[in-house]
Amino acid sequence: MRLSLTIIPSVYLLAGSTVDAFSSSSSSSPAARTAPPLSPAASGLFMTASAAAAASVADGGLPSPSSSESSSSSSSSDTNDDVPDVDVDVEIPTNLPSDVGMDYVPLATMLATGQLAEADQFTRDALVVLAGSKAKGRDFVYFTEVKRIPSTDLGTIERLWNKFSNGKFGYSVQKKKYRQSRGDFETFCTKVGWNTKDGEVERKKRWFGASEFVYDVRKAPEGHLPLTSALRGTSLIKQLLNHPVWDDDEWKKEP
Amino acid sequence: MASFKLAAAALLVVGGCSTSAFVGRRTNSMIRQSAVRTNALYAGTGSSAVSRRSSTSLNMVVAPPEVGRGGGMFTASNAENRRVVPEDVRGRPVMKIVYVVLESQYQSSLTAAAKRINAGSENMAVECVGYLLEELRNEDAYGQFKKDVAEANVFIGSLIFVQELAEKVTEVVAPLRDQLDAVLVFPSMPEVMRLNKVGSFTMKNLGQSKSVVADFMKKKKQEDGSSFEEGMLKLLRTLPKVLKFLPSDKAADARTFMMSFQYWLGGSPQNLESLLLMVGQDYVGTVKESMKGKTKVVMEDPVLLPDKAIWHPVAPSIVFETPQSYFNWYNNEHCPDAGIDVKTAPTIGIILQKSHINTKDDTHYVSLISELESRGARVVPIYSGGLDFSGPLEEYYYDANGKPIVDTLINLTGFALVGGPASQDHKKAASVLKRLNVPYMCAVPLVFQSFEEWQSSELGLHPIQVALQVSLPEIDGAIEPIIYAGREGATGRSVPLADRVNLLADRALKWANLRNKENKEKKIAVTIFSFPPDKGNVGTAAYLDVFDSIKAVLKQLKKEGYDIGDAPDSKEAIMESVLNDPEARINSPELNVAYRMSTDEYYELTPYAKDLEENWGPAPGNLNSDGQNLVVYGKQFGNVFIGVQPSFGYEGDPMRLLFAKSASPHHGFAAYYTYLEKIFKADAVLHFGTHGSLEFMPGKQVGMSGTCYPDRLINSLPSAYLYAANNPSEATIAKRRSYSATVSYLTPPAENAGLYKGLKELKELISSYQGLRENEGRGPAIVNSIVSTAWTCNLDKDIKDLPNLETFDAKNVDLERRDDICGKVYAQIMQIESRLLPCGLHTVGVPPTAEEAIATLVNIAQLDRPEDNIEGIPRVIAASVGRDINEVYRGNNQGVLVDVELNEKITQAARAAVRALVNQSTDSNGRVKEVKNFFDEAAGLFGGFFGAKKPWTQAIIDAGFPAVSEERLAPVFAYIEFCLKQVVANNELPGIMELLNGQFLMPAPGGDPIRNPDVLPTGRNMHALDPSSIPTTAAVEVAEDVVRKLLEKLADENNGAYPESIAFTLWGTDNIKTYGESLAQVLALVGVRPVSDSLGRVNKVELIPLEKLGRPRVDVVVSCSGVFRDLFINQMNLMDRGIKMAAEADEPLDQNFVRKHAIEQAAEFNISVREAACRVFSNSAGSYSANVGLAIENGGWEDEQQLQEQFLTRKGFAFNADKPGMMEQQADLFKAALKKVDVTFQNLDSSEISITDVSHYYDSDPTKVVQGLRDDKKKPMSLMADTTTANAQVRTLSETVRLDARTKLLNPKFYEGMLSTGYEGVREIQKRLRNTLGWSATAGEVDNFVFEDANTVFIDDPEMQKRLLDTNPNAFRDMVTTFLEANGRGYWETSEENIERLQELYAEVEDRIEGV
Repeated sequence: MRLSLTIIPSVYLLAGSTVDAFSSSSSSSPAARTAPPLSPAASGLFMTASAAAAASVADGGLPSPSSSESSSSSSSSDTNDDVPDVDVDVEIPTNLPSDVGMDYVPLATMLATGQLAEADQFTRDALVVLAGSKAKGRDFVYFTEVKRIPSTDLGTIERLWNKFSNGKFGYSVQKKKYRQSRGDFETFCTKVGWNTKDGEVERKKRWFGASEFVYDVRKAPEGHLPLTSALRGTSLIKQLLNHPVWDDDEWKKEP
Repeated sequence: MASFKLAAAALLVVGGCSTSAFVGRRTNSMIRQSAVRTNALYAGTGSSAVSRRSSTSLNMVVAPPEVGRGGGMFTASNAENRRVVPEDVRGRPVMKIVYVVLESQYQSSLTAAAKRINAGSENMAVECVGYLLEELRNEDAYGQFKKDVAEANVFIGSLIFVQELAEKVTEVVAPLRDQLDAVLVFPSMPEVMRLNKVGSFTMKNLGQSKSVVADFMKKKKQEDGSSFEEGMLKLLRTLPKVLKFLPSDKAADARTFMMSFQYWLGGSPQNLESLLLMVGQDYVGTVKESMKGKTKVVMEDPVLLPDKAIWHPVAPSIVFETPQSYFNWYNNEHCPDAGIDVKTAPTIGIILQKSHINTKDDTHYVSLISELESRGARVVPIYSGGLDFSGPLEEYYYDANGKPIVDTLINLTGFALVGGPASQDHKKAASVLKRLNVPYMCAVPLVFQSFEEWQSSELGLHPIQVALQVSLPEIDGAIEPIIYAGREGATGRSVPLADRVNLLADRALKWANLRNKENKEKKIAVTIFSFPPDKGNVGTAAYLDVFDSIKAVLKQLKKEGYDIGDAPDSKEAIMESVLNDPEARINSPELNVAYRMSTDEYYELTPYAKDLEENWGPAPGNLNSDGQNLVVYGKQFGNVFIGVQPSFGYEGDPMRLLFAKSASPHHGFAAYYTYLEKIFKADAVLHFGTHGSLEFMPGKQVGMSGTCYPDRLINSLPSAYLYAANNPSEATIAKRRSYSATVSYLTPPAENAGLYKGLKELKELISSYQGLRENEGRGPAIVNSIVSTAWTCNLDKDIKDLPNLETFDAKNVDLERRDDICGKVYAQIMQIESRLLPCGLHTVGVPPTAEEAIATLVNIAQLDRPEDNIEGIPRVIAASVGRDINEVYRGNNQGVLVDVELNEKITQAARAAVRALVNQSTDSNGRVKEVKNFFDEAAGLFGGFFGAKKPWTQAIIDAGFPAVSEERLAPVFAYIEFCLKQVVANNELPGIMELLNGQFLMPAPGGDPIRNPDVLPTGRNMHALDPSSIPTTAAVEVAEDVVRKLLEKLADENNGAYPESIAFTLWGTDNIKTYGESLAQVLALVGVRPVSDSLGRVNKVELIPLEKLGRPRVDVVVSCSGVFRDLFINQMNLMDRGIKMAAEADEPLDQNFVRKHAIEQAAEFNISVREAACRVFSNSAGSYSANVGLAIENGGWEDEQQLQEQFLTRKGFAFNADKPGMMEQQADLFKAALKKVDVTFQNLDSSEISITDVSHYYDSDPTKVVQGLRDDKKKPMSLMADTTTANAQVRTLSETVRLDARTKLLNPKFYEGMLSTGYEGVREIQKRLRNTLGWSATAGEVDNFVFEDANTVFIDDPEMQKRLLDTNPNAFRDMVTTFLEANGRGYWETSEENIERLQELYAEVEDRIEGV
């Protein structure tokens, strides 16, 4: 389907609470955003907007950074000079299979329109639902739950990231980077730009507060997005990159 | 004290991050500085932060956290970051809340609670701003705080236990208390608690009258610390339940307070929301007003977690109160799902802090748990509401049969196991841990710094945290202080440091592996050292017979089922196998090559290899390299590898020695550890003896990051480190920087040095003189012989008025003068005779014989121990003849013949008495099998037998003191009997095996067994002391006394004029052993006195008024060893503040030399007097020593100028209390201060480490440096205080060098003892000679006769020559070289003949070594 960008609710820019930037932690759950799960794409989109707008309280009472800030500093200030032209029509895929009835049109829309920070948050939130963590009342995926994420869904998500970043972003890209880093997480973080340098000292980009990540396809290093939290250990990302879906190239096939 | 107890109670109740004690130790000027710095930081960003706040439509602003640059010691977080302003008031009344908390975890909970109310409540909105207690030190923040409180409805405070901050809070809140609607103060100092106001409920009388609580606490005080805490917990838990049933209105208010407290303890956003809503609707005027007619909201009950429980992040229930319920879920559901094999998985116990669970600030915990589980391990994470974790540990870590279920225990709280920071019970902790008997790691979360601040800091972990969360847990027996989490600057949330958490998980599992792997499968790497790097030095370790000890360890390993292959059962054979490469030419300089690592393999396996290229170029380089490969030296036997640790690699390189900061390890060094971990795949490494270089590699001081070299090198390898028991300071560096668990070993048994040759003759002559002194014929003749023999023995150097040999005849002087001469000679030789001399080398697992223990015990028995009501034997004996022992000592030191005689007689009596006690317990082999409890027996017999004296009393009586009091002797003999048991206990091999078998090794203090017999038995994990406890009051008293004597002596010798400045050297071990005496001496000279707070923590200094001081303030230049800097940075701060205080005191310049010099320097450098008063120096962070020792040991130095430059460059880093986070290079100020120095001074604290035993003492001696800098080029006087015996002395440096030479290098008892151990023995002799040369080079205080006599002993005598050459040709060559060098550099004048012989010998040895 062809969408004119004007219908992308700007609320998204304000509402995605990218609190815990690394973990999928926001209490604005994808379930809420995408509910009802099996709803048609278009309505899902609008539901998402309103649900997200209502969501405000952060994980564990975490003082939330204004996501408007983070997204404005990333999506606007960083990308001001190269915001995708609003008048251009973008094609948004609609055949987005899910084993569990998840609606990926919002993700596709966000990615298609360059709202990378929001897409990033959506992705993390989706994983919380897909892994079954949400159902257990938790806001983060524990590494043992990764195996419950259906390959179909992970494939769909990956194709979207790949497509709209021209192959620059996505878990499969990260997997490659991780292998190049010989399985060393620190090296990996440096490679994909999750580390930054303060003078001589290399550190992780901040997980809270104004985002330091680069929500810009052109400026970000390869594999920079989507972010996965190392806030609760590195085993989560390791498991994700170890998911059976990457064992072969099946996921690459467009449905 | 009362407030402290309350504090302790409160800490445990909240079970929270009880950091109050830390803050207390933060010192005033440090704080002031941090305030200044913080101000500066915010000057630029403040306005924008404010404007952003007003412009945003959201209710929270997060500015990027500011990182305190350069310092890294102080937090720069800001309350504005967490101000919550309601987004949309919707006509609701706004309740304004201001809070001050210590625990940053509460910050996010309160923010969330406020937001929930703003979003959800119909009745009120909340504006909320909070301050972390620390932030109130910042003047701007304090100003804002005042404004905020003035506008507030409700004030909340918690854990305000820092006196000066408590005062600040009270100052603001007290005047506004009436206008505030409610004040809620949770456990804090009494004056803050008194601010409480909830309706009619107040605590105005708190702490002023008797109360139930106070009585209860008093009663509990008598019991041990932990049960006191648990009792308090119960009390505070029951109170609210009781209150519920009280009817009156007053009780309702009290109930509200108690409910608030419960909500507060609950800590979650939900609980805090209830707290705020409850207080709002009941007490805040505007809210009450608007709610008129509405029904009050009924609050949910506080959701509280149990006091102790098991917690798991993905468990369906929040916590488990019984192990059964936990394992039911964990083993049956979680583990199978996580792919963990319940039957075989190692189990890691984890101790957590409850407040992080309450507030859900737990990602750092989850992180470690997930890393462990993803590695296939089971975890059992527990918490306690109090600060005594021993209860839950006992409850959850044993199965039904009482068998421990965990393999390794990690304490993530960073606190001591029992009592946290408040009141530790180390004994209880150690015994609980020993019962569990698994490795116990205590990892540290950053509290006082954000992780960015830690990361950019060269010091690493904040010194206050080091004191509390590294030093104190070490006393429990904790190992591996790994930083694993940090406070995130902006939000206060704890975040894990991913690489550290991974390391922690790896290391914990490697320790667990040592428990679970079969011994025969385990691979052990024994690492030996080589200092200086030379074949003759392989296997060097202080006082240890390394290869003999390795033999003993191998034997024990075999006994316990380890595979030691075909390891030979002979010391020599083991040594040969490592030293000689069978493939190389015979006697080649090459060691045995165990492995050649190609550069490709090296780069592949060593992730940081590239970083070494900056210093060393690409691999392989030319150290430990054959040109193509990196070479690992050593020899493998079965699963045991004996490897030689490479050296620093820059010992002989004048360029590198001069660098102010140390270079990284070289490729060969890295390759060695890569080999151990990744190719040999060691399960554990055993570092063999004191000490190697791993722990001295560059990096942070404490709290390593992943870029620090000790951390990178050791990586995941568990390390056990055999360490001499008398060196706790360097052992502590090994523990902290290289994650090593130490196993202490005994220094060799000490003997009295005894007399030999001319000295022995002198003793005999004096004995004859004693009988014949009044015989006018024989008496003078004997005196003449004494004088001439004294000249032969070079005693003229020590006895200033020794009569001239040519002109003197004793016939011409009176009896008094003759007595005087004999007395002085006698005092000199007795000083030599009674000096303690460690004999030979120690072999691990061989305790001293009873006979060997005697000298040590005599010395233990010499000291008075007033704290234990023990009088030393000499004091009791002296009393029996109506003398005070101190008087006797004084007379002895002055050479008063009768006192010298009496002192000698007392010494002999004491030795006889101790021997009598020891003889009771010796078997036919002369070994102490079992110490018979004679004291008890004796006690039972008291009064039973008339006249039947105990053997030791009888011995004293027989020695000529019939009136000695048996009763007064009883305590000291009971004590030495106890000490005897400890000395002969054999714990060393078992200690090593406990570590290799993955068990808990009991902790023990390190130090001098004579001063502190608790050091014994050895074979335990050594620790230093609580650094905040020094200097102790006793140490200050002793120090003031020493300083007074010293200044009197100096003034006497200088026409009553005091020295203007004294250069000091401070050592870590010295200050540990003496509880800070030497640093107290510095303070005493300047005329300041340390002041301790009610906890006995020293954190302030005050000026002693001049009139009270009675003399001028003497200036100082303090040169701290790198180890002292690492251990006692708070004390450096104390000294610097004292010195600055003195410099700024408005006093006459002839009465205040600190000020006098500082004013001159201020003018010279155009800086302030305060800046000029910079006197506390050390190395740059992460660097150690002046490298003068390395240069001299290696011989590769050009001239003295080079040594002096090294000293000035490397030691010229100033500590500045105004910029406390860094060591700043201040070479100009260092020089300016040194050029004023009149006297250089060092302390000698123990007999086993004397000035020619190690290179440290001359390494940092500035005597010649000062001479070069002084305008008049006059050499300063060099003094050494010797506090090794009860009769403490101040001697000149040259006297001390002579004394040391006479007792060691030139003493047959010493060198024969050394030679009897063979290979190592020759090296030990050579080391003394080399170190003597060091004193020539740095101070020029070595008499010619020392080298001359040494040459006579070791070179002149052909038989001796041959023995040395045969036993250790390499070391002998070094010896010859040293003699030639001493002559070549102008330190030794001797005959042509001697030099020619040495040159010939050199050629001969060289040929022999080369195998020609």
